[in-house]
Amino acid sequence: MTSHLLTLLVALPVVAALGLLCFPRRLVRAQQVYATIASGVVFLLSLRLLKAGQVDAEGFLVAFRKQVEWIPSLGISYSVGVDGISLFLVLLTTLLTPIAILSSFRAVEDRARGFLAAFLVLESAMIGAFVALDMFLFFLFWEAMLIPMFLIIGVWGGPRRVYAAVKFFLFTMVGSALMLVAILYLAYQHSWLHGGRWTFDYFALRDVMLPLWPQMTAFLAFTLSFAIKVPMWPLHTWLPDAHVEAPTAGSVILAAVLLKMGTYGFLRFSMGLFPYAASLAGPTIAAIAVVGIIYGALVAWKQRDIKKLVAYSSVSHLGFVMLGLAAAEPRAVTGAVLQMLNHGISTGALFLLVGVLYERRHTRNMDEFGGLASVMPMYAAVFLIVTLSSIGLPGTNGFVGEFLVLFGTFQSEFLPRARWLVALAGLGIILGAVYMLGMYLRMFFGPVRNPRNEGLADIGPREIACFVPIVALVFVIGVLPGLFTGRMADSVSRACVSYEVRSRAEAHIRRHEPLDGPASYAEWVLRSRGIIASGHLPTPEAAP
Amino acid sequence: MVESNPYIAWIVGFPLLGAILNGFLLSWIGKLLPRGTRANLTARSTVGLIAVLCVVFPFLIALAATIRLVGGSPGREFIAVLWQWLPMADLVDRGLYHGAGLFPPAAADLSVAAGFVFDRLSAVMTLVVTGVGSLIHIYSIGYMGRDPGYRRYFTYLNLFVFSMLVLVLADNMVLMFVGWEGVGLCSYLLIGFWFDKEANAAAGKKAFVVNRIGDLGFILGILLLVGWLGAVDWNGLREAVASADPDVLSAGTVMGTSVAFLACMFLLIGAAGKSAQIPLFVWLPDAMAGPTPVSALIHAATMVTAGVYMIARLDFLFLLSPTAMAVVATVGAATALFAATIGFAQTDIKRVLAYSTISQLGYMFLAVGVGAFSAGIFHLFTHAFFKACLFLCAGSVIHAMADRQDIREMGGLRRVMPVTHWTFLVATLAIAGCPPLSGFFSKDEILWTAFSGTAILRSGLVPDFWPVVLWLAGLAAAGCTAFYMFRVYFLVFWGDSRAPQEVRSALHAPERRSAASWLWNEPHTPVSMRFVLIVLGACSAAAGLIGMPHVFHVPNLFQKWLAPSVAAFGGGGTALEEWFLMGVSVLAAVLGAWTAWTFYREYPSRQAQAVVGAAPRLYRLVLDKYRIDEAYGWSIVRPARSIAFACYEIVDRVLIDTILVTGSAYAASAAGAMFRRFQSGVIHRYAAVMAIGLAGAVLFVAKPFASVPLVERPIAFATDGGRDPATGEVLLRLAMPDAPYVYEVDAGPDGELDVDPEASPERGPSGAADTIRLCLPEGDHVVRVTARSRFEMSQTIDLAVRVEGAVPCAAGAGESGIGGGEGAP
Amino acid sequence: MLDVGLSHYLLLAAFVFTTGAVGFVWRRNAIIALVSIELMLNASNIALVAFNRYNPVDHAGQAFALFVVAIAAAEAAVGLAIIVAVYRLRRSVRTDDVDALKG
Repeated sequence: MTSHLLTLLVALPVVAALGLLCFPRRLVRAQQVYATIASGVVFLLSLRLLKAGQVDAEGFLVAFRKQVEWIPSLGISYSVGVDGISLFLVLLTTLLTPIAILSSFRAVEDRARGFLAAFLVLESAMIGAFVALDMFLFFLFWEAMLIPMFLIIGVWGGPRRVYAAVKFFLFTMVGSALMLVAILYLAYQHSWLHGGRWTFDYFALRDVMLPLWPQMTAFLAFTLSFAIKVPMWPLHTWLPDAHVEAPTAGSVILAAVLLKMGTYGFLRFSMGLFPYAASLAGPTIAAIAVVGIIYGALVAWKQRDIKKLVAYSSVSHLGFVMLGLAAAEPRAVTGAVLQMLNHGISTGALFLLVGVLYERRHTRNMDEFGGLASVMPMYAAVFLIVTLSSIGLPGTNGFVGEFLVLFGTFQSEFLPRARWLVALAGLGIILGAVYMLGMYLRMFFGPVRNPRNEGLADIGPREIACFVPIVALVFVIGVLPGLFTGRMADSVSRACVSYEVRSRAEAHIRRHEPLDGPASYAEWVLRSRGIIASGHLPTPEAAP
Repeated sequence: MVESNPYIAWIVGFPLLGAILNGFLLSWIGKLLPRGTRANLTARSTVGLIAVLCVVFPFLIALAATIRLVGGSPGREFIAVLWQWLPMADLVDRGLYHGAGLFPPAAADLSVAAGFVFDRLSAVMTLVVTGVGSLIHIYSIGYMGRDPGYRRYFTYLNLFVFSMLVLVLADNMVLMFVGWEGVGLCSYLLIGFWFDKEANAAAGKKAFVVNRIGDLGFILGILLLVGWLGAVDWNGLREAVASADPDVLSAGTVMGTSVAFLACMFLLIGAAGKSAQIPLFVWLPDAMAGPTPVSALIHAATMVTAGVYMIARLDFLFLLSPTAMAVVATVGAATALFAATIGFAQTDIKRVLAYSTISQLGYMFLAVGVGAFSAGIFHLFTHAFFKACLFLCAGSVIHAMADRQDIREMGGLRRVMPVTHWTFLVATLAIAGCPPLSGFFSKDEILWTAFSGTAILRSGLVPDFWPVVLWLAGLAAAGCTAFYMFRVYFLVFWGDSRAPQEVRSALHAPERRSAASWLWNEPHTPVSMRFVLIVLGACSAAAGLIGMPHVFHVPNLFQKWLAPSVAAFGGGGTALEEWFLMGVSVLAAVLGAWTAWTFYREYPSRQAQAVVGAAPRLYRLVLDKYRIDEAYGWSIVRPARSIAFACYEIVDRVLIDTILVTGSAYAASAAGAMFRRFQSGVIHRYAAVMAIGLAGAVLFVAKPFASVPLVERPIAFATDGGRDPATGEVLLRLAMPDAPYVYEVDAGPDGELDVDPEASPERGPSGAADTIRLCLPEGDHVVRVTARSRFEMSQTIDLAVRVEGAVPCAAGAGESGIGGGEGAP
Repeated sequence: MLDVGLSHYLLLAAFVFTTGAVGFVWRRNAIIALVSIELMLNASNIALVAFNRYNPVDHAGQAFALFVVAIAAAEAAVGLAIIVAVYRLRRSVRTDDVDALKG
């Protein structure tokens, strides 16, 4: 049973989406309840993943690992598994999908069946992308995510929905087309190296050491694709538009899960497949990440549209994640993975909160509000907690992630200017307080100026049900982060060790021998260690 | 000697429990109870009782723990480690690679525990926080009695005490930072407590943001220190410093600066933010928007002193960098004087007290900066009493004046509010440094240590006269303090009432004029408030007695108590000097008080107006607080806003969205418009395009084949390698595409074929190179080689051949011919 | 002198093919276009058969030529049917008048 669990998680939402067809078109509420229950069941099933168990040589939980041949002639297999890095991202997906669906009960009543189906299909694709361990399979899920999200924005979005949807689609497509080419190239090089045996298996491809420029190019192709998804500055402009136009539930999933695809992909694939190229590009990526942190915060400060502000704050927050990943220091990477989770929780919650207000007032302009704290005290309290989590107040989840990232980056061996970067990234923390509290001030404090805000209803039971798990997680992660980082530790350390060993070994080798064709990392790592031990190659201290 | 004592955690736990109970738990439970038995669990009395008890209990626990510390050895401390909070072990096991020299050595496990430590230093702070905190909670019951946000207020207040205790008791830097930001949050919430006035909420935000700037400094300090010393907890850091070689420590540099100095500077930024020192003091005056008890507790007695506490905690670190110490002292002295002068002209009673707080915090910084850590903490201790007392007196005055805070509208209150008047007077005398009240002893110790110049100050990069400068600044600030405090005192309590009629008519004096009424009766002040005022007044009077200077020939209990926790530096002067300085500072205070008496006994007075009239622009400048806020607005906020504007409107909107995104879309659609013309739907036009395309394809594909190089290495002809060493024949190596063909070779002007196609055998499509042997005389030749295939296609190439040297075959000995199949060269 | 070689056949094929191609592009009458297509197909037949004659490894050239003849016949039938249908619809067999391919 357990070995099929991941397959079940991937398949169940799609099956449930098909089940929606059984409902008559008119029974909107029944469809919504059904979809909520279906995704809730997926969440409950996914909790099984938390059960600690034996891990295999690559750090993936043996109990859930599954590999079945699919297209044997090309070496494509259905290969899925979870490790400490993808585990919580899967859980985040399964947790937020029912919440997002629950939040959309009143917001989306028009063509609800299609909306719910799109959501469930999206859930499948997201889970699939997180657990896929075959590059072909990953790419399949990666592209499959695009379609339902495109529909969600383009059909159920705001007035400029088509523009936003097409922009979202095109930006993402540009990146993924390049990634596909890189995947094929990598698989081709692997077959060249292994006598024509094709495979798309992640672990097999990870062993291919490409020559320098092809490696750099393939790395950039992957990274561009992920950087667009993250989104990193200056590839971020699709995000505010997509967020502003998407319906609330779409924004929640977009911010909370889809953006994590970029950071997750960067960690798993860009850094996993091309460690040397990643170590060369690391300082640049870290610098861009810091630019993004400050830039996103500054621009968020200028926004009057709440959703836009939150969208730009995402650019800033994900800059921290990218900074931590580029630092490639275990604590920084732990922080970054945790920060992915945190951002999913707090930004997802912020979009939910904006949606609550939008349902009541049909505006997202913060100047329309003011003094809401006295009209909607419960809502104000939840908003405050989420705001504080977003600006990284200690005791909430945001602090733990940010601190680990900053701490690890500070100790990083891979970034030559790490300390400056940390100091600059710190400016983002200050600005975070400026724009988030500025928004809070504008919306909740002061007198109730707009008479239309006087009779606003506070959040009701359905909305409270959405927020309870989120607020709980804010504090649980903030107070007991060990529960989460403990599960990540093994995988993160494996990723970091593999990255350090392979990138350093390759750097050593390249200093002494030109490598014109593809080679095997395993072989070269052994060899470089042999050379170093025998004293043929200089130690890093002696090398310039 | 470290002892585990889990009760310490309850000091922190109770206020959190109170906040949770009052915040939401009791109201939830109330809702869950069956309808008939529903008790009002959120009644005002319940809320107040819970809140007060949740601060009183920690006070009692702290008192008990302190008593146990008294009995123990000097180094005794209690710790309570609850759980490993932040896992910061270096996860990579690099042991495998160490021998190879591929990796730097593994870092230590830097995991951060949620652990608390109760030593002599934190004992003082805990007692102040919970003691003064309890009193202010009690006071608040009366003060906030009619406020609709009663429950919210006490929730925040409990939460504040919790955060402050986390800050104080934390056993490591990161946990201290948790409390550090936590108190900032509570301060934000409480400043903006009456949030329906936007100015209040904005003041809260300003406080939070300015504090965050400091917090960034703190975090960077933590990162530097932890990475450098390899520990996060106080004991670990202290041991790391103690055990390390001093030369190694001083050799540590980052970006060309000593790590110790840099870390101290970052921590100083953090401390300056929290403790409202130059340049980050601007938030504290605005913070007076909160309820007055909050100002007393947070913005006078406890939170703002956190910076001083932090520096005292890290005394061993600051001692590593005398230059940093000098900077701390200088910042402190400058702030003390600067803020005191602003106090001259302010008219809002709470703002005067706020600047006074900034000024007094400057004294504390001066103290820790010159190495008098215990004096700094001592001043913190006494200041907590007299400043809380002053604020609470101000609170009851404001209460009586129906929320008016302008001292120009007050006057003559000493008859109406005797209790407030007397306690305010005591506290004013204490802050002015009137012996033998508490402020006198603590302030005098600071001034004396600064003047006599401790060894640590002298070893920094400061000129020799610097201690005197610091002392003079402190002395001047002492005079100023006495002046502005007595100004407030006279304006509020003396002269005739200047209040508006409706307020004045509501004021009335206590009925019976007896001795008891002086001490107790006051119609405008609830019992709980009066009680607290009297307790605090008594403390401000007497608290100094535990820290009397050595020249009094009594033991300085306070210094002795702290000796195991913080470093101590004695002054270098003589007893005579100390007596003299004491006299000078008392004189300064008296002078200040006397000036205030002259100017403000009556208001408006001729003398005061004369002084103002003499320098109206200077007066205006002081009244506007030197326009520091405006300067920051111009130099920092506005440029930042402009950059934000440019980022959004120019970079995002124009550069990226318009030029890059929309531009590429236009490029694509323009290309589409061009190519669209081809799709006319007319078949013969398609055919034409097809034909053109076909022709192009033929050209593209066929042309290269038409010029396939017949000769692989023509250069070979000119070299010796191109000749047969035995016969001297010239060897041409040729290769043809895969087709059956024959060669025709014509060398020279004789018109005869040297190789006849009829004679030469047909070469198969082997791909191998052929060798043509030619016998040529010395000189330059043009050899025309033609290959003919059976399809009567032929290709011709001319080769320039230079033959040098003797030609043995010229006599006709050799025969031209073709050999083949030697394989590709 | 009149030694007919491969190149002569190829020249003939090229000439016929060009005639067909030019006719197809130039002429507007659909019937003529169809005839031109036949010309081109036959030109390719000439080339195939000629090559096969000069390099008789197997009979692939002849076989292909037979296929082409069969396809040409089928194509002529379908083509004429289309032309008739178009004529019924448009009352014209001028290719200019039929631009339904534009979509």
